[in-house]
Amino acid sequence: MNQIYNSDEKRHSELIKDLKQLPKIETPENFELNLMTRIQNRNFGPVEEGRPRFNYIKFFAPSAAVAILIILFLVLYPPYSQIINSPHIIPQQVSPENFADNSTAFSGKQAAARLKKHDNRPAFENKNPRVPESSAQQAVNPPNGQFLSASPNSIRVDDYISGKNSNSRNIDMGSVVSSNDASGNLGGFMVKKKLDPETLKRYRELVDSLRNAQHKLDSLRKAAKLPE
Amino acid sequence: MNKPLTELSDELLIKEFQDNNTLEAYELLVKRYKDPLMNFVFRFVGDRDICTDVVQDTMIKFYLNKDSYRSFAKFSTWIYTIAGNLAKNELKRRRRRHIFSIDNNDDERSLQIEDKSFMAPDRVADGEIKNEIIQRALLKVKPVYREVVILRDIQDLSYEEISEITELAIGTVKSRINRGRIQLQKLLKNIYRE
Repeated sequence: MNQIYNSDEKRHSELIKDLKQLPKIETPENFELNLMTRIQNRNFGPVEEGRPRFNYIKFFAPSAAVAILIILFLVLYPPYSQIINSPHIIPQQVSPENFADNSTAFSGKQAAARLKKHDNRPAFENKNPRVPESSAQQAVNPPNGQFLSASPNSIRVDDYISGKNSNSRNIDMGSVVSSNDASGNLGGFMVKKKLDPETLKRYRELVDSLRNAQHKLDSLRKAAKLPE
Repeated sequence: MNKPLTELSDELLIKEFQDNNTLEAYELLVKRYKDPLMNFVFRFVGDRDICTDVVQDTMIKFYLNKDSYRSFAKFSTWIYTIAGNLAKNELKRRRRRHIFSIDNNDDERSLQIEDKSFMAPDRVADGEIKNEIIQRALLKVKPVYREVVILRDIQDLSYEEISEITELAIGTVKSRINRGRIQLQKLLKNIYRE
């Protein structure tokens, strides 16, 4: 290997000789003086800069700016305001009158008429003297926007827990309502008004009389062996 | 230390500078290496003023980073490495400047080097012109080859030293020197007829 390089050197011997004979370049006379002056004045120029040091402020500045922008965006434009202000959403106007209109379907007279039509038998008469028909109608269709959300088939949780409940069939069906609050806990769209105890009492009496009537009707059917 | 500083080797002088911050030791090393480095950088870059700045920066870097020198290395290779790196950076800077400059007279310069048939042989024989032609041809050689050729044939460094300075294997150094010489010989074909 060395022989190859030696032969190369022989081949270029003339060139190598000329290169060696090139005049030696020397520094200017004031080179050392300038150098020592630079050192004394600590004028190191671009050499001093060297490798840039790690700068925490420079490193975290972009991420901090992005974080601040996100926070500002969330503060100025909270997500729920976008939903509320969205032009695509048309708010539903709920008024007690909407519910009052439905009340006609459940008026006492119509219920009785339906029963009559279906069974083709004498209409149910309210024989309970304590509960007048008008009050029954009032209970089903309460005045002043008072609504009863719980159906007669539902049971009360408190009663169920205490074992007083008589309508156990409804438990199997899952028709369970909350405790003493007769209005129920409906979402935000219904007008919540407390029922006065008088109306509640009347309503309960009406329900009891209807239930009694149903029992009597059932017993009559059994007696007459009428088809269902 | 009983010996005077002037009699100390480079390695002992830098140790003295490192341990006791003796400015005299530093000045002695500057005196010893300023001209060899000037010669090396001038042959590599080709501009005397720029070359002076590069050597000054080399000495400043040596002053500022004296503790980065480790005693197992030769001082000469360490200082040549610094100078070589600064010279390469300078070349890159010049090349960038050259790309963006409007009046590009590189073609004219290459003609002056390569087309020497118009020169009379007696003028070529003239030493001064010959040296100038060689220097210009040297600047046309690729920097990777130029550096090793200068270190070997002009600065008279050993292959091992060149290998340390350039951080290349000795075999690579040798082959690069050979390629550099071939390139140079081709550029100077009017002077050296094979």
